[in-house]
Order: sequence, then structure tokens, then C-alpha cells
Amino acid sequence: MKAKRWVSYILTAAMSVSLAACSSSGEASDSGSTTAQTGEAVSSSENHETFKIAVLELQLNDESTNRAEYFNDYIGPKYNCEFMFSEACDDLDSAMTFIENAASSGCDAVINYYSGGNTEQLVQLCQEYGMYYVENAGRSDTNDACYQAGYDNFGGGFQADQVDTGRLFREYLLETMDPSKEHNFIIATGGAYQGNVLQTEISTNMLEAIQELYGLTYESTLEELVTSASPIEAVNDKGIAIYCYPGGSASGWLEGISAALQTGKYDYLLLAPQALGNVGTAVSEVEEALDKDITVIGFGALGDALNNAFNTTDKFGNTTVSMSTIKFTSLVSAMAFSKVYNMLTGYSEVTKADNGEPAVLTFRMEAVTSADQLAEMSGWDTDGKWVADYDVVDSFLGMYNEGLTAEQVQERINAVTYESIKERLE
Amino acid sequence: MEQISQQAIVKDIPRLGLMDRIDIMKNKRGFPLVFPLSMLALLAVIFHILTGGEFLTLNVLKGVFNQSLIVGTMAIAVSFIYTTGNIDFSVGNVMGLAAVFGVMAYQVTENMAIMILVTFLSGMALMMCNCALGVIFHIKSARVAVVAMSVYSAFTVFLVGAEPLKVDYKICKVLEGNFRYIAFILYFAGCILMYHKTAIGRKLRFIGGNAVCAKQTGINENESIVTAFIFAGIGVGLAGVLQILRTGSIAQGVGTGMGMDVMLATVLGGMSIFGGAKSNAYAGFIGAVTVTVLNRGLLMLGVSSTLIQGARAIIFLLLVFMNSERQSTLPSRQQF
Repeated sequence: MKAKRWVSYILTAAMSVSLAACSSSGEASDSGSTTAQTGEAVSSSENHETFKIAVLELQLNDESTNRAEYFNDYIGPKYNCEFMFSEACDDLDSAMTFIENAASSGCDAVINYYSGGNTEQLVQLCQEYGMYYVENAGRSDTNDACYQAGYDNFGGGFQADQVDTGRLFREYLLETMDPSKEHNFIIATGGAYQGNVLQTEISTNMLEAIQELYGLTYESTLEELVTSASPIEAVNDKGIAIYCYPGGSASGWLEGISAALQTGKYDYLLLAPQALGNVGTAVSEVEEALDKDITVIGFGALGDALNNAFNTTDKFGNTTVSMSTIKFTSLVSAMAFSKVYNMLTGYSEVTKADNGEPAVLTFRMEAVTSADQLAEMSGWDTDGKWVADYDVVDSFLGMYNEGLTAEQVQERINAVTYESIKERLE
Repeated sequence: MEQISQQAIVKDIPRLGLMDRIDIMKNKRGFPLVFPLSMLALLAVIFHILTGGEFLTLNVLKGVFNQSLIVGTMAIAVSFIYTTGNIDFSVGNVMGLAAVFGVMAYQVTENMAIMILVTFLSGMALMMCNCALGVIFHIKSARVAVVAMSVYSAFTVFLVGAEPLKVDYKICKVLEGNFRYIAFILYFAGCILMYHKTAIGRKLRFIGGNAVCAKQTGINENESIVTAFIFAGIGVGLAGVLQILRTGSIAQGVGTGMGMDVMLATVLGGMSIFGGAKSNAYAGFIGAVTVTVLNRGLLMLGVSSTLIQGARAIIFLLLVFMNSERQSTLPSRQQF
């Protein structure tokens, strides 16, 4: 009984502290807005009301943390916006729940990073609550009708240039692999089986590169291999072991990859999902135990996980990751923000293509192959060195650029290259 | 002299401490209903004050109700199973697979009535499969649930494939309005009547309290468990229908993890998942509404999503602690 009493006291105290913390957090946020209003924001945000934007996250990782910092600390004060972030929403029901809650909290727009092929439902839900909506996805068969339906609140999508990203992986494999030596591969196909277009494109390019290098023929079609919901062996006429492993964030995925590596059969791990931070330990353990060098090629965002991956070496003296494509989180975030901000400030035409339908904005990824190359980007996309700084963001906004079109915005995004960033930041 | 003895008597009466008073209060008959409802009302009032009068509005309350509906319906359903001292956390996966069957039937027939019927029947059939394994082969329900979760989830992934299965969202929106309210109210009222006003409910509670005693009074345990699973199946089927109507599409992950949400809602609503005499059919719904109120209220206050998780966990712990003590009864059977 005494123990229960103490537990009760501790819980009560903890709750009080927690609620106090919550309350002070809210105050901090308020004061942040006040600072913004009294500082630079007043001159640059044209004295408009404070907009509240909900950000629906699919995963909570390096990238989402970086995005929150960019939106809250950099974008929010200048453009007089508040942001509200979701917990990880990995199904439509939780996405809808967050949007409903965001509406109750007074949000004006939703930026959605969960794209489960349900654009129509989410656009309609946002319309019901009078909110604008943009999503991290391209135009596909599943949402094409939505682009044609003429929803006033739908600002279209933004995504990586998938063909270009797939090409980076393909070119790296073709350049660095010696076809006279036999290699065996695990290809983590990520969410390709759920319709994730980027991961489908990357996985397909990887399989095609292997096909080209060894001149092999698969027994199944590439589509069957890439979109398989369960692990599948890509059986081929040259006897190269290629194991396609779907998933990327669910529990049990890493254990499955680890078990496959422990067979000692595979020496290449090719990752379509953003999972570089997760596989390092599993790969090192297998390299140590089996005295086998495993090459890892993946996809990441600038941040601690990628830095660690390129700055740790295995027992063979190689970096944990051999190649990674990277995206600049602030640039992608700026693309999303510019879409909703243009709609909120009455410049909806900037989000539309020539035919009047919502436009899709795309960005190109960069390939990193060494710690030195990554070191050159040291500090990029952090506070004070955002890739998409105010000048870049302003150049995407109708309120600062009379007659701006979606095509021009796309050109300006394309102009943000590795070289241009380097010149600007250093 | 008489005055002195009176004073002595008063002095000798042991004084009740705060915890003793709480214990007395917790053992009162109406406590399982009054306490969770009071907590829910208190939370709502606190959020209403802190949000400057924006919480207790029709739109927000309607949203809270809608968001609680699926988990709440399933929590009402499984209360029949929990009451008997059995446990089944595969209900989320059952609901998901039933919804998949329903949507597939719609894609073949393009008939919403058939979709609803197939979802209902699938939910009931799958719950009866779980029941059969327990009743016929005497496998503990928790073990059946672990296997069922994996099997149903695998079937769902296999049947759904890469793209979500979709139904006509416009029809969903039309049906979503009155249909779901009517269906839920009918099911809820039916469960309350059956559970609290008939011999069926009394038998279930008796079995949950002490299966041996129940058997010795002539209650057929297997028969009662089958009855419990039938009522649960109806509720899970209904939840499947509500899920389809809400989202208009069913993806691979549908229902995953929902079994735990249902369990959490049940405990928060003031019911022990070990069943027994103090069980009831409404606790799960109250718990589901409480979870939704907390999530929405904290978001409306501008609390960040990471802080929400912490604050929610602490409040849950407190509520569960208040409801944690099981009544002193005759020795019960082992649960796991």
C-alpha cells in the first residue's frame, strides 16, 4: 500500500511538471511569434495575419527534425507562420485524424509527407475544413483524377525527380562494379510494394544496372520483383544471387536484412528507403563475424546519420556507406512551403501549370561518394547555412515576383545545384 | 464519567487516511462508471478553459466522437471477451481482414449493401475461428490472438497488394453521415441491454470472476464464451464497415496495432482486462473518447507532438493506477 502511495505521489508530481512544461512550451512558441512580428517579419510579411500550417509526417527521423527546425526557427519568423507537426502517421486513418485535429487547432493549410495513394480523400477532407493541401508525391494513376477535378484547395505535389535519382544509382553501379567478379546483392525495395514511386524507380534502376553489368535475364519481370510485398529471390540465368527485400521502417525489417546478411552470401546491400542510419551496426557485425567486406549504397538526407555513415570505417578500411544520394531538406521544405504560402496569400496561379491544373514541383538529388565530398557540405542545411535561404524562398513566392509561374518556380529550383550552393555558402 | 468514556471511544476509532478513503471510494458500486466519466468531463472542461472556449463546441465534439468510433466500437465488442477472463488483441487485424473482404466484394458487385454484409459476416466468421481454437482445442485465447495477428496480417498484405483497395468515396461520404450513427447506437444499446440486463451478461461476469464456481452453479463456460465471441464478432464487423466508410480505401496496414489501442481504451475506461464482476460494456468507449479528447485537446493547446506523447503517457498511468486494484474475490484461474 505504501508503495502505491509513493507511486501516486511521483505520478502526480510528474504530471504537474509535464503540464507545466507543456504550458511553458506554448509560451515559448508564442513569444517566438511576437519576436517575429516585431523584427524582420513585419517588413517582409506585408503585415498579413499569422498563418498556421500543419505538417503531416510519415516518419520521425533526421530529416523530419531538420524540417521542423527549418520551419519553426527560420521560415516561421520571417513569413509570420506557425507550424504544427504530427506524430508519425503511417496510415490513412491517422492522417485523417491529424488533419481533423489540425483544423480544430485553426490551421490554414496542410503539407503532407504521407502519400499513400489517397490524395482524393485528403483533399476533400481539407476542403471540408477550409484548408489548403499539398503533398509529397507526384502525379500518378491513383491521383490523376484529383488533378483534373479542379479542387480550389489543392496545390499539387512536390517530389524528387525520380528518373534522375534512379539514374544516379544506376550510373554509380555501372562505373564502380567489375563484372568479371561475381557479386551477390540484397536490394531493399522499401515502400515500392506500397506504390512509393521514388523507391520503385531506385529499385528498378538497381536491378537494371545489375542486369546490364552481367548481361543476365530475370525469370520474373522487374515490376514483379520490385513490388513484391514479401522477400523474393530475383532468379536469373547467370546464377547471381539477388534478394529483393521490401519494407524499411516496420519492426522486424532490420532483423530480416541482418539475417540475410548473416548467411554470408551477399556482399552488396542496396537501399532504396532512407535507412542508412539503421543498417550500420548490422553490416559491421556481419563484416566482423564473417570477415567479408559488404558495400552499402543508399539514400539519405544531410544530417548526423549520413555523417556517421561516411565517417566510420569498417575493418577493411572502407567507409560504412560507399555511395548515397542526398536531398537538401530545406529546399524540399521550401518547395512545399511556397505552394501553400502562395495559395494563402492569394497567388494560387503560381501553383498551377499552364493548363490550369495543379503543378508538380521536382528537385534533383546529388550523389555523395566520399567523406571528403560530404565534408565540403559540412554545415549545409543547418541553422545559418540553409540551402533554401530567404532569397531562394522569396524567389518562389508570387507576392515578391509579379507574374510568377509554376514553370519559373521549377527553373529556380533547378538552379539550386551543388555548385550554386557551394558558391553561395562558402 | 459518561462524557469521558464517549471521548475515549471517539479517540479509539482509527482515523482513515487519504488512501483508505480512496480505497473505500473505489469499491463503491458506481465508481467504475462515475470515475472515468468524471475524468473525461474534467479533461474536457480543462481543455475548454485553456483553449479559450474552443473545445466544447459542436464541431470539435463531433470530431471527437467520429475519431473514437472505430476503436470504441471494437472496445465495446471485446468487453464481452475480456469479461470472461479471456483476452484477444487480434481484433484490429480481424477488423482489417474483414474490411478487405468487404471491399473486394464491393469491387466485384459495386453494391454497398453487399460490402457491408460481407464485412459483417467476415468479422463474425474470423472471430469465431479464434473462438473455436480456444473452445475446441483449449488453447489460451492470448496465444490464439498472437498467431491470429500474424496470419490475418499476412492475408491482408497478400490480398491488398501494392495499391490500396478503394471504394467509391462519394458514396462513403453519403453513408458515413447517418448510417454510422444509427449503426453504432443500435449496437451500443443492444450490448448494454444484453450485458447488463440479461442472464447472458451475468453469466459472462460470473465466469470471469471465478470459472470454477460458475461451472458448479451449472453455467456452461464454452457456451458463454461462444456467445461472447459472437457479440464481439458483430462489433468487429461493424468497426470494419465504419473503417471503410471513413477512409474509402483499405491499405495493407489496416488494423495493425489497433488491438493494443482497444486494450488501452478498455483499461482507461475503468475496466480490468482480466474480467470479472466489475466488468461492463461501456468502459471501452469511454476510454476511446478519453484518448481522443487528450490527443485533440493537447494539439489544440499547441503542445508539440513529442511532448504530447509524454503528457499522454503520464495521464494514462495516473488513470490506470486509479483503476488498477482488482476486487477481492475468490481465487481466480490463471490468465496466461
